[in-house]
Amino acid sequence: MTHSLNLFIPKNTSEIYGQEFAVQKIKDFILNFSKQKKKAAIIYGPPGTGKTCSIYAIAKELNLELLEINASDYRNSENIDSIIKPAISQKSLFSSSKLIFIDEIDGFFGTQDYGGIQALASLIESSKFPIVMAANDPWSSKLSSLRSKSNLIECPSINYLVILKALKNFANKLAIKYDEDSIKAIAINANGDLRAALNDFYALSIGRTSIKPEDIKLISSRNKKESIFKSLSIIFKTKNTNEVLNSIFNTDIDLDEASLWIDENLPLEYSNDDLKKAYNALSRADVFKGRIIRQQYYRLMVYQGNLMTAGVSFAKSKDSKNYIPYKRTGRILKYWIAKNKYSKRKTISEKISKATHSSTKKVLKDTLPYFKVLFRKNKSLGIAASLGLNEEEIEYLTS
Amino acid sequence: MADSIWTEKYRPSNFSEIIGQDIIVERVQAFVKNKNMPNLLFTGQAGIGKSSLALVIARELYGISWKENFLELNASNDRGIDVVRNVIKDFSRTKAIGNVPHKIIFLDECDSLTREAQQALRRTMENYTNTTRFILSCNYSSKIIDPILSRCAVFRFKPLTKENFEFIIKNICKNEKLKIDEKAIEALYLVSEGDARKMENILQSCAAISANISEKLIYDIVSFAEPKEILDILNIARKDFIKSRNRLLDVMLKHGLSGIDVIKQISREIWNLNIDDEKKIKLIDKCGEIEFRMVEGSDEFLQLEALLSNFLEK
Repeated sequence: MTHSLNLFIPKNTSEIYGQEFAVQKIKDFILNFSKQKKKAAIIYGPPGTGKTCSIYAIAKELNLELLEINASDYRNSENIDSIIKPAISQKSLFSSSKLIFIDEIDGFFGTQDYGGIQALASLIESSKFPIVMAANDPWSSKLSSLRSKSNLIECPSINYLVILKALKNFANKLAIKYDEDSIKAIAINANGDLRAALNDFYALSIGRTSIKPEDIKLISSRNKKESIFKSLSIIFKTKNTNEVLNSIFNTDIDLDEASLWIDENLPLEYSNDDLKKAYNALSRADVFKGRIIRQQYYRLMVYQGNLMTAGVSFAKSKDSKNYIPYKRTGRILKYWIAKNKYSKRKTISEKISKATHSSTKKVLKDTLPYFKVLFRKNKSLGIAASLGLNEEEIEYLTS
Repeated sequence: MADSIWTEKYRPSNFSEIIGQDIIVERVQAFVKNKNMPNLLFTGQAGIGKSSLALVIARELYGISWKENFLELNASNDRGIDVVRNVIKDFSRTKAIGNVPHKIIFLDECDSLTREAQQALRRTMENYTNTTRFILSCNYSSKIIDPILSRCAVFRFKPLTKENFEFIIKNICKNEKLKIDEKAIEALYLVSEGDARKMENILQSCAAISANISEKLIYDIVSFAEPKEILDILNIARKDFIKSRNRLLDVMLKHGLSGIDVIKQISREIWNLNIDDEKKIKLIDKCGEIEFRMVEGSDEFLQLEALLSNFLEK
């Protein structure tokens, strides 16, 4: 049975799996474009969750002419201007309206795409047509100028049951028989990435009429959590030089992510002197990480890797046999929440600073704490209005 | 025939000659038979058949015109974003030549593609599936960004077993009329570190000296090509600093080694020293520190001397 990869691409929004909510929000944004305060939208989420194909399906359904620019194009400020500027001012040739789609905005790069993001940000406000962008990570600092002008719409990773349903539908369409366990294994292994699941399914089904349990061996693990657990137990529980040194290099996990995992779980495995030695090694690994970033000299990854694996492993004086359920670090999320909170504190202080003729620094220290008391007692909406505080800022002061 | 390079002479030319990757080969054969395949990522250590399999796919799929429809790029030579935005994009846009379903771009060692280049590759891999499919190969899949992994069926190649090696070695020896015993096979297997390409290079060099391949010959050849001098210097440094630093200078001048060349080897050899684990970690840390100072522009030899002084045992 021969079939083409195109078969898996949804032809309309009803064929999109697991993103009903996101699709609706994108449609609302486009249909109510004239009323939008923010003239662009950023669709974000991990790979393979349907960002790009949702845009295509929606454009087709709403009969919009689609102009796509992605990371395979040169996207410096000149190119962005020369491609997008005419497009956002002219009427559409073929359809009733137009949709500008900038894919992979986290793939704008330094020298080659110089000024591209700034050019894009300044075009957004004047656009007569909706501009939709897609990214895996919309929170990176280089995207902040786009983020503040855009509605954020999430395409979250897809539940394995939804992936399972999709796989079964395609299997039936292609008349491929399967047993429940095999197809379930593909769905779970994909880790929320529907495209990965379809690729794996496709790789197994070409030239076949059925998928059997023994075929699953070919599919390699896409589940990073499972592999990090294995790496952690090699580092924490063994001392074999070769195995320990390769414990992370042989997986899909990058060193920085591994460092977070080791950090979170190290105190669960080691104590006293062992803990001290292991943390010293981990901290030295982190010093090399900083140097790699500053110097752009990647050979130092050897030391970063060696110290965080062998350095931590050899720090132990006795072997622990206890089973420890390793945990993911919650630190990054907490940082993010705190950063958001502090950013409000900063904008409020800046506003007070202007109104009270004092420095932001002084306001942060001397005025803001009293304003919090003031706002918590009564809402002081008069003050809020005179300072021009927005709802979020008022909420920060009253909470 | 004496002049041919054995790694090419004995490169598998059809599916049945690829050793030790049965499940993967079986699947890939089905792709060729049905003239259809997803984008593929081959991952695994060096010298276990990744490139060979990609080449076999091209030959089986396209026959004599395989070179027109197959673009091979080594990403560690052409690793920048411009290659992806120009060479790769242009090739993937145009139609295949002859009655074939699609062309193939084989991107070898793609773990050395910059992240920028990988980003630029994402949509190209999808937008031209009607004309082009990709085969990527890498040693470490951790260096491939998630969006690329998501676009590929990932095939993890297994390390070759001792039996696999024995099979390949015996085949070559039979063909080249070489005599080899079990002990020499074992030695060849050990020094090649699972890399069949390295094994064939060693074996060809041995054969240039004698048709009788012995264990001793193998070790002699390997130590000539990969001098153990650095390890010797480190061992001397444990007892006699002055002697070790003089030897180091001699070795660097004799082979034209830079400070970075030397420290690369030191960082590998530390694990082979007969000292306790904790001391190894301290030395590795020191080694990284010294390499960092070199990158910042310090005097390379002075820094190496400072490093050697850490090996001294009281």
